[in-house]
Amino acid sequence: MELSLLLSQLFNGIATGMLYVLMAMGLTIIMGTMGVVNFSHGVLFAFGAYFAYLIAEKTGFFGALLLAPVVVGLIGMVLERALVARVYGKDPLYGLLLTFGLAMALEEVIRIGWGTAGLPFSAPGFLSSFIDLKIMFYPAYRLAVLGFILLLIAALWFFLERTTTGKIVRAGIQDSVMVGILGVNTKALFTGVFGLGTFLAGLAGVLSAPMSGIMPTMGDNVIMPSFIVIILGGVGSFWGSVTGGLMLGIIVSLCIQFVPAVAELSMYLVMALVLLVRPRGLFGEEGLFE
Amino acid sequence: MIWSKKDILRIGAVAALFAVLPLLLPKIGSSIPVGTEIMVWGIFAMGFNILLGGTGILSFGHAAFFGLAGYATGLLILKDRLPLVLAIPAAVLGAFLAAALIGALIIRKRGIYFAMLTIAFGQMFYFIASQWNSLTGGLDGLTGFKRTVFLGFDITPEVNFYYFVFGFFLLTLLFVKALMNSSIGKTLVAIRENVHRAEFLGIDVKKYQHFAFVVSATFSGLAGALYALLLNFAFPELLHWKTSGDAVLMSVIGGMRAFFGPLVGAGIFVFLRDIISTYTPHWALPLGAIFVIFVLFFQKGVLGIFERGNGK
Repeated sequence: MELSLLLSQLFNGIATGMLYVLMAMGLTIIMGTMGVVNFSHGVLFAFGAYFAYLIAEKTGFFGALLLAPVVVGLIGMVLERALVARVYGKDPLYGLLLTFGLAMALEEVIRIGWGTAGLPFSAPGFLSSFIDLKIMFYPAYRLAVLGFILLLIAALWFFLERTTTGKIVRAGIQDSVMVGILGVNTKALFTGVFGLGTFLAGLAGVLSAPMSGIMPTMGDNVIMPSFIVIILGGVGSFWGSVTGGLMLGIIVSLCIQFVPAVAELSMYLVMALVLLVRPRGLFGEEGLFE
Repeated sequence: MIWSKKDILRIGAVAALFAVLPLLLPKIGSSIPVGTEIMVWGIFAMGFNILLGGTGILSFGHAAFFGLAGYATGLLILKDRLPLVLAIPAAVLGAFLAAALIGALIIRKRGIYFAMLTIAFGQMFYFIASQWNSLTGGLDGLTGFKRTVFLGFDITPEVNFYYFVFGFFLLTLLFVKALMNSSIGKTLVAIRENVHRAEFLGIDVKKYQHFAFVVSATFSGLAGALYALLLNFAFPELLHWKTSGDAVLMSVIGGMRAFFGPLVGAGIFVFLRDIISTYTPHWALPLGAIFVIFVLFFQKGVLGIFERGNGK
């Protein structure tokens, strides 16, 4: 086995894992704060990519990177106000059912709007080359995505840990009823959290488009891994999502290279194993949904 | 009596409707296999609802048992040349055993985590079916088997197969009703209404939930075996979590607290899909939207609306 092959798969794993982390972060703050398992997260990821495709025609890649996730976040906020907010406080199963139906309908909206065939989407010119890392050549775009998401995770961490709004969000994950009693406008908080979560899904969609192309079912390929990441890391846990995402990305990428037959199976095996042995996940707190 | 007079009348009425349905379907521009499909999904959803509506547990993994039995039926006919009278029970037994094993592993988890675990195990089956090319035909699916005779009864023609499925369908209705009328069924409902109280009463909650999981999965298996025979085809999507979602959708739209709810949901699902798909390939959009509306505003489903109309 060549070292460079192993290394490049490892890098691929980290890059994929980073996308999972973005998705999982959005899902986990929504799940932690409102108790809603958002099945429509995958389709909003796809929306991110499709909007980027539209916007990039006018503004180029970076305009799309900036705008498309914002549009997705706004759509998320509208969906939250109009639909999701109605199931708060009910059995969590209703949130799951609602967003399942929503995902089904929205995926069809994509097919109506853009057709069933895949669309091409390329990285900006200066990132489409390969970079010499001495031991191997690696696509510049993937490296850039890696760095960008690392920065983003740092920014998110700063927001959640160091700003007042972020502290309110974290408190909401702990106990949203108590936060309401303390005088915070939870209605606005919930809409904001849903917006932030879906913004992250849209952003992940834009970033993944040049790597894996754009198609209506692209959300399917990331929604399940993202759920698994949350289960691995624990609901509502920041570092749990990061660790879980990286673990899963690396495991799947290495399997694709060395035991392709079980590549997709592997993540479900990992999930089942963790859930059976440690249901709250690696970093999760006891009690949430358990 | 395990069935009340009212039960017999209601099930008899539904049976009478389905008995004459093959005569009606061609008249409204539909076809007999559509009726067969409604009964197959009806068996799937009615069984599934023992778990969802009956005892309040959401599974997104029952397609695994549906598809497992579908593939098993095809393979037993194709490779082992088993007669149908053995192949179908063997396939259903396979679903039963798989559910008993998986249920034992996951039944202790609650709510969302349970639903996620059912997806995880279901997807394992899905990937095995789509990757194990030499056995299952991979993503192309399993073809080459055909339904022929069942104990001397030729079920190849569409009408004959319709009445063949009708027999299983009727047995399913009777069994599910008898189960929900029995003390076991009452215990399941008690667990759904208040787990803690059921525990205080000394009920072994997990045992009952496991039982409901296995029984519902066995019906998924029966439906899957019949579905594979209807199409003479088994394919990976049968096992996908979205197919499990279809069973959930049928139960919710029809009304998961009403006995015939899942059957009504299955009928609506098949008809809507067939009607809408003659106008547009995008039937999932209206269907998804209808589902959302039901989850938000009509949580008792179509039959729940009627119930309200009766002033109950």
